[in-house]
Amino acid sequence: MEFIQKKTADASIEHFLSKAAESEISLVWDRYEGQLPECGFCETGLSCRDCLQGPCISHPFRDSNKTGICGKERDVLAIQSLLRLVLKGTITYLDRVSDLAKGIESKEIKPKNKTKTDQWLKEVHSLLQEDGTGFKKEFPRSFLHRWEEMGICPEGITRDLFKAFQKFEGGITDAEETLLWSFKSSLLGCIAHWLYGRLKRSAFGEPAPTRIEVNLGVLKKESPNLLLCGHFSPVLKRKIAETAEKHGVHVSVMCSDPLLPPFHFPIVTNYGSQEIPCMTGAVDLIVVGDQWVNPSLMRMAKEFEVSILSTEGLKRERNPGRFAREIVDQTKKSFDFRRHIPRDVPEGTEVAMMGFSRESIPAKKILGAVQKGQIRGIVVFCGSNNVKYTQDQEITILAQEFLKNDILCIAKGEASVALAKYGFLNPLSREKYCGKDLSAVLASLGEETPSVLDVGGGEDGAVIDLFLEMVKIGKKDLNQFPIVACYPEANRSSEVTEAMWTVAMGVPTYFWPALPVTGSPKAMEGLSKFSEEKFGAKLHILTEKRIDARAKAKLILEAIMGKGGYGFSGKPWI
Amino acid sequence: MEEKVKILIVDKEKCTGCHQCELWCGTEISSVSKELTKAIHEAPQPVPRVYVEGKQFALQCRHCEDAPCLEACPNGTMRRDPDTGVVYVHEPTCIACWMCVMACPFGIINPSSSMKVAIKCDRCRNMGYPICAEVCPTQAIRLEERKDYRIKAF
Amino acid sequence: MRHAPCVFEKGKEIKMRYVIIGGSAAAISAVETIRSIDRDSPIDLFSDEPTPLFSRVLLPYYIAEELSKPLLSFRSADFFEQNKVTSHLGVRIRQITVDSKIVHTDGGDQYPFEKLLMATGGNPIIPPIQGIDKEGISTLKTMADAERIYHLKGKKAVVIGAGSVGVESCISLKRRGMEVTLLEQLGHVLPTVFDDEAASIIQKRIEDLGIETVIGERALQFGGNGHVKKVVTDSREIECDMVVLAVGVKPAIELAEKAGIEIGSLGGIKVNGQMMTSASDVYAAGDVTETYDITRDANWINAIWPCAVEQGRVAGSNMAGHKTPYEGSFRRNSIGNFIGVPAISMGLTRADTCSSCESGEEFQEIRKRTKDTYKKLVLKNGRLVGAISVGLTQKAGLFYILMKKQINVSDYVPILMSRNLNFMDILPLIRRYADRFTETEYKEIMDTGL
Repeated sequence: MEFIQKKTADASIEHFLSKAAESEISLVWDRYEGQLPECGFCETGLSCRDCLQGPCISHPFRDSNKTGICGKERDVLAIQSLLRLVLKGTITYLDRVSDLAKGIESKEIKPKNKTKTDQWLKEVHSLLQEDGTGFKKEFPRSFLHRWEEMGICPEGITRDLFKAFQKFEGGITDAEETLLWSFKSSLLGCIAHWLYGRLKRSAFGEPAPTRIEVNLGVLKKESPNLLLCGHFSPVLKRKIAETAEKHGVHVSVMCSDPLLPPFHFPIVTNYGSQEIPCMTGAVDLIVVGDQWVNPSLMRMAKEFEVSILSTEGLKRERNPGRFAREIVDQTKKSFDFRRHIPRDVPEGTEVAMMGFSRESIPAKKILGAVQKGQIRGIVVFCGSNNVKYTQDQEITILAQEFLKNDILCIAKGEASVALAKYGFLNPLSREKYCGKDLSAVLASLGEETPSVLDVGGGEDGAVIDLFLEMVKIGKKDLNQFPIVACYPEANRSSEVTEAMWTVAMGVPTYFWPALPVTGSPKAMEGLSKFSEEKFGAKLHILTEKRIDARAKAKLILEAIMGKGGYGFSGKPWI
Repeated sequence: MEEKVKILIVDKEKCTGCHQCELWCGTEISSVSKELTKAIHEAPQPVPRVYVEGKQFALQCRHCEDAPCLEACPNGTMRRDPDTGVVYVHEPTCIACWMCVMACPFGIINPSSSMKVAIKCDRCRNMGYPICAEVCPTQAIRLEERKDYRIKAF
Repeated sequence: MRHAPCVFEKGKEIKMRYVIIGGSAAAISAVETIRSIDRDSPIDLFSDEPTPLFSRVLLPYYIAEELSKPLLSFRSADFFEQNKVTSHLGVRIRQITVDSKIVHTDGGDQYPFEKLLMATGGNPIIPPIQGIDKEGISTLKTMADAERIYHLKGKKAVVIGAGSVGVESCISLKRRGMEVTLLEQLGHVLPTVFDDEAASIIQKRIEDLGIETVIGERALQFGGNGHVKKVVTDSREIECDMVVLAVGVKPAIELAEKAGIEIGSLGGIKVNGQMMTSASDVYAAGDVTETYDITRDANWINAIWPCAVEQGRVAGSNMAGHKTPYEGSFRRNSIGNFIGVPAISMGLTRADTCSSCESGEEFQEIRKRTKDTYKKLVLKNGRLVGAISVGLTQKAGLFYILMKKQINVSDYVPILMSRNLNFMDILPLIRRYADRFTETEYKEIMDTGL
């Protein structure tokens, strides 16, 4: 069975692993080893627990149990495994946007651009209550036309969510149609995500490229540290930031948007190592949402006497202002109580420029550079951490390979944080990482432009905006551009949904680890050949477990730049 | 056999009938590609050598002391390793006559899906450790010395 | 059992001297068993065939050009050396004197023995058909026969007798590119192996291969000058240039008869429960013997490879001083992959005709036929005495063990007929008869409490 020999590429995290081993504190890596071997049926998508007649499997080597008891065939079982993830992911985006809408409506903060805010609020409501179609004005004709023809154009939650869910309850849908339902629901998630971004920016203001510090060293030894973890309402977050500032409490974030104008927060670490900050002893209180938060934080907090509060409790305080004050007060108290606890905070942080957007990355310039051959392609890094890989190793090696080959790298969310820790978002290392031509293009965007461009905190739908902008300016369909999305370490259902809508928009996506559809040849074909026919893009699922990161980079480079793929370099494309 | 032969013992209290042993035996031993996602799509379909049927219990070849399959094989394809006591099919000489299939009292010998050779558990004699025991999530399968139940006549 | 006296020869003490007549399944099995008990006493093995250690069962494969000679062996070439056996190949035994315990070879040599095993097998039946001595007509029993048939440059062959050997031969010859006709005088192919239903499936398969089958007709005469040119039956003449006779075997009892050893009513050497003949220290095993047939509750000749191996093992064990009872056997055949679909059969194929039905006996047949498969169980007073399975041979071994241990399966018939039959399902039945399932392997499973 697979054991990852090296747990993480992050030296500051490495330090705490041995500490945890000595004190017999179980971390995500230990629990992963304990779970091995993982069920092969579930891994390949050939299992189902939707009803009480099961659990059923589709046994690849025996004929007696190839089909589920209710009659679901192997291919449907596998694609439903995918659909389940997509639907869960779509709901995460819907949850975020509805939270934000509610928060803004509570009038606890003053929106930056009132008219726009109201406009977007209306759109959100229309999506949640009726069948929202407002987005159709902003999305390219080519997308809409294609989606409508396939029957997957998002229509709103009653159709894209409720109906999609009924596939699990029965019916005679075949594998292909179930796949289309997956795409449909993912597009609903896409719209929700995009609306979130628009609403947030009109309410809080547009982010500008900001200097942010990254890694454990951001924790202060001498003042109260409040750590915000996971996703929760930005309105509450803003309130916390305001209150904390007044009371001298230092706020940092983990697996959460660091940019919330007018505030920005230092980032402690990323998803895979979220249990480590508690071990430094320097965190006094953690506020957690639900999304992106490991339940193990509860135990970690107890172990290191850290106060922990959830924003999503059944009976939690609903008024953001009051809640924020409560949180800050408790942080200060906790700090007083915890003065005796030794601090072990690794020195040194990394500097990251984050918060680029379609304003700071003019599509015209980028596309011009692509045409001139200064940029040979664009890779969008998404995803987070997955314990099945050495933390951050894949993405850093991929980024290095791409950058030195003059590929423009854009990153979002957790992927940005991963790269930030190793200096990829530091303007000073631009020359070190980037090929000459790429370096020149980045420099032309501004002195402070780093090697990899982070677009917002991953909660802004900024990537979607970027895509839409490129289509508008370039006047071509997205699948005509040398652009590829890459998930070196994907993990959560929201990332699966995101990958699906990225493919539906026409951007080829490389996704690791392999999605639980590998047990069905029809499903694999659906995500490759079929997707290529319909969207001009494949969702690449590579099943080799022992493939080197450099080999992955080579694969992707070949696809972007030519040689047996649909290469673009050298072809005049305007 | 003077030495104690080691055989696979299954603890029925721990076996959950999850079929993982069948899955990985089929993948790691019977398939050509030896990788799960590829083995699933192989034709002919790989045949696992351990059976989880009828009850929550995994049944492998018992490597019987008086093996009926050894007697039934007409051309010396079924052999016993003198050191380990393992009874195995020497596939290159198997003529697919199915006499052994007819002889096994436990029903654990089966034709391969291409119907060219007889397939039987050989206790992973070419591996370091039997794969079913290795992957069992509850460690219900163990490799143990055979207990001697028989009262020797002499 | 008389304890064997030690024989002294030139000061060297020899515990036992074993002599084995025969070199096939039963003989080799006996050698291995003897050697597992007695490593040093000399064993002399006499076989009238110069080619050692080849499996008769595989001769049709040789004719079909699918197996070369080396692949016909069922033991490695150094078997005799490894097992310290002095092999006398191509040496015929002319006579045995049971009182002085000496075997006499054709060449005039004499070999004394302490324990003798007669594993002379069976001789192919040569029917008294006019013209039988023409050229191009051969049985298929020895390696020499196989070579002869292999080298016959025939284009059109007739195989007489649709038993296992006959069916496999005709398919082999067809694979060699010949035109073949299969002639059977009884009601259907494989008359002693399968019932009419199974035989019809198999016959169709044979015909699909392009082989002409003529059923219910006898060969009356072979025509031709010197070399066979046609076979004349009850109603037709079949042109051919080659004939394979596969009408059956009968035990090769000449030696035993001459020595005054008792022959049974079926024509095989009679043996007791330890495989010993009527002559002390003379044992017999394999196709030459008449043994207790479990499914018939009477003596029968089951000239089948696994039976010969088992009998050789029991005989060898007893010869070496380990008293071992012979539990009885029953017929089992597998037509393998010759016809493209597995077909196995064991025990009685037909409830009524295969044994005399006494009063108090009750037979039951349960059949299931689908387009490509056929399954049948024969029960006698609830005991499983016969099983046929065509097209599905999975778990056939479960029938074997239930038959061997003479288990009453009356309330397990639905399970046994089911497609999902498996060992765990019949474990409760095995538990019910735990006193018969004494082997370690069963105890291990029964220990689990399932």
